[in-house]
Amino acid sequence: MRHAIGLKIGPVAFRVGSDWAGPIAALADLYRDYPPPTGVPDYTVRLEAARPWRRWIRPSVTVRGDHMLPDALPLDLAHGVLAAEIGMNLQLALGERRWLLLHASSVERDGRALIMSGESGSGKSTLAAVLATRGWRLMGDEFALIDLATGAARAFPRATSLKNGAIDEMLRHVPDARFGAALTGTPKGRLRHLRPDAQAIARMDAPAIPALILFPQFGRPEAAEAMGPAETFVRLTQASTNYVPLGRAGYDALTRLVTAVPTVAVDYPDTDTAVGMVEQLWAALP
Amino acid sequence: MDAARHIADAVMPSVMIEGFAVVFHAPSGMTHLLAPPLPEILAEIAPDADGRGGGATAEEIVARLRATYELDGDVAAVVAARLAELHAAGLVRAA
Repeated sequence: MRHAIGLKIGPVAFRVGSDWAGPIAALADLYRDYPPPTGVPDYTVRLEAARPWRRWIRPSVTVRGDHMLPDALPLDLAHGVLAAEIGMNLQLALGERRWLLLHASSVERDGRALIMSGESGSGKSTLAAVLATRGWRLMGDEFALIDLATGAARAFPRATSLKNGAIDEMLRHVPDARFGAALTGTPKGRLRHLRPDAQAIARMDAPAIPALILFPQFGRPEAAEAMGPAETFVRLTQASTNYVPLGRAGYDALTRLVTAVPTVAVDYPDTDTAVGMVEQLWAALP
Repeated sequence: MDAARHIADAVMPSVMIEGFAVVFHAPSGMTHLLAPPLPEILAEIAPDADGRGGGATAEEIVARLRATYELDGDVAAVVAARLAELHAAGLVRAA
């Protein structure tokens, strides 16, 4: 590829190559504080022109790598960073066999991890980013990596992808300088990336023991309801991108997680309420 | 009663979670959540940890369940119906 960058995010090393300089420069800026990767990358992401002439004419980006989805649509070059992010997520989601991957954000305090799983729009990314401004260490906004042998959570602190209203919400909590460029008109709407803080990067190799699982749901009246381990198990098999291919190892890791860690479904009308609820639930842990 | 023998398809790890047996079926890679009395029936016809032994006729299963649990009603009909479900799910096969 003409342009390329190596990125190490937590225990995962990527090489992102591109037909264009723009997306690589944007990634370099977004991840400027991360240590450079060493050794062979775990995953390669290629941002290529959908057709040769599309490098110049209405440039559009096709995401390629070892693992691909057949029906992925090309993106506008202006959204090259989003394409890279999608590519990195996809390689990890489809290719990873070292950890059980949960589609969840996670934060850490005192060596213990709070894991927040939910659909896009549940507020899990925003909540993790806000908690990171209140003394928690951000471990990741997209994937929690559960160690198959120990059950510990590993951090994967990518730049946090914030959409639409979540951007304005986070601008209340962190300075504009922490944000990447604004992307408008993406398939996900308006989008901006938030750089993880220095603590998240400096301690990204430190694992944490899962202590609490939440299923947050933004935009509802305040309510917290304990979720039984059977329902948690079923929901987390759905939230995992690699439970099935991991086979027995995934089964062992997930049954252990849901039987050991309390789970609560949390509905909340705004992030300040959610932070209060999280602190209350956390304080009540044994 | 039919004298056919039934056997659990494999050595299947099982974790009880809230009254459900969460069972991993390695040959298919599928995880099953089983409600009673399916785990109890499976346990009666499972091979040992080394994959040896196991298997029973429906009549033997009924007798073993009656010996272990206090059961009312038409146990044979329940066992026959549940065995059919376990066969359909691929968790039990003819011995």
